[in-house]
Amino acid sequence: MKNFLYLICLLSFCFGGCDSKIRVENTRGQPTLMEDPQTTGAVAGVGVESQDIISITDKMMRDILATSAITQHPEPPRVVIDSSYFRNESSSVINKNLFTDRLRIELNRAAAGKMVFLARHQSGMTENEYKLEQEEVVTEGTQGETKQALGYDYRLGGRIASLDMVDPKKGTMSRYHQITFELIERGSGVIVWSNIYELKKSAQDDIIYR
Amino acid sequence: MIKLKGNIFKIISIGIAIITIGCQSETEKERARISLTREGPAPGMRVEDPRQPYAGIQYNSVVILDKSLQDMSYNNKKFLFWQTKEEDKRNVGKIAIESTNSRRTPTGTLEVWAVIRNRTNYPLQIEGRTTYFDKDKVPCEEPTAWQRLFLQPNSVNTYKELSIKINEVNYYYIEIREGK
Repeated sequence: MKNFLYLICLLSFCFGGCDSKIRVENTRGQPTLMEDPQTTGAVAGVGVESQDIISITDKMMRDILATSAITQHPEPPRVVIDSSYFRNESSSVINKNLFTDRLRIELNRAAAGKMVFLARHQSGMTENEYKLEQEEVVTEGTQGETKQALGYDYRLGGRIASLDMVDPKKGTMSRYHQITFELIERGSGVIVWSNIYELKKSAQDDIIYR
Repeated sequence: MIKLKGNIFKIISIGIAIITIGCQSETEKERARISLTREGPAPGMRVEDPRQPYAGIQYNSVVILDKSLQDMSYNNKKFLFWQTKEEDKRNVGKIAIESTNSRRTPTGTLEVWAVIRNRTNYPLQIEGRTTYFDKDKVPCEEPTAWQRLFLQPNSVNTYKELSIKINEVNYYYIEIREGK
């Protein structure tokens, strides 16, 4: 009887040892998907998404180009498009530069000299270079002495606002976004161009935006 | 008796061999024919078939990409005795393009539009984009971003788009797909 108990203990140790092996989850996993940024992707919620950013900035860019007050100056106006005065007051977590960078780059490519864009978002770059040149640490470039930074004629202002609604019974969430864009004249503060984009989305389960 | 069985076996074997050889030769011929016509990469070519008159690009027009917008469901549709399914297909799209045209803006860019009517009793969401071509029918800028349009039941809405370039834009091509 005693020997039988010893045998059972020995076997249980053996099987216990077998069980203690490290098990690796050796499955293939979900492969990375390349998606069209202009189309709603596999993960979608009630926030602002890539297709919205592309659609909004494309619409604004074309509208600015069709505005004669801006594009038919005798001298190309200097324009600043950055996120300094483009505020996010919505409940969506979003990097505002996604809008302003795309709008500035697309406009700069399309304007073909009808507008001049100033890099205020990189202003530290030119100021540092000017200081180094003044201290004779670096020489001047092939285009001559560093000129003073230029002043602008128009600057982008705008706002992202939202209105949230939740149905606690169904768990459905709805979010309305109102995104405004304005080009404001320096000094006078006149709004020379403005446009608005609205979108409303609802979903059963909200996804997390980062 | 054993000898007869052996002969029958030989005859059957020879017959199978002949049939197999015949098949192989036919297969090889077919393979050779295909390899002659399909060596290397296949060249891209236009579809020029009188049975497919709308397969190519129709300039200054609107095209509907999704089958779900082109056709309504036939499941519950009853045809009269003189109607055929094929004839009726021409008149069953979910949306109708009432008009399309273009004009120059004050800055010289080309504004195109398409008036679209929802033929169903349900709200529809569609998306549109435009490709612009120059006088030689060469695409002169990238296709625009997809713009979403909401169509209330039996209502009319207008898709509008502006070009980036000015005088060089001569033709346009609007594509409509279902909003997803």
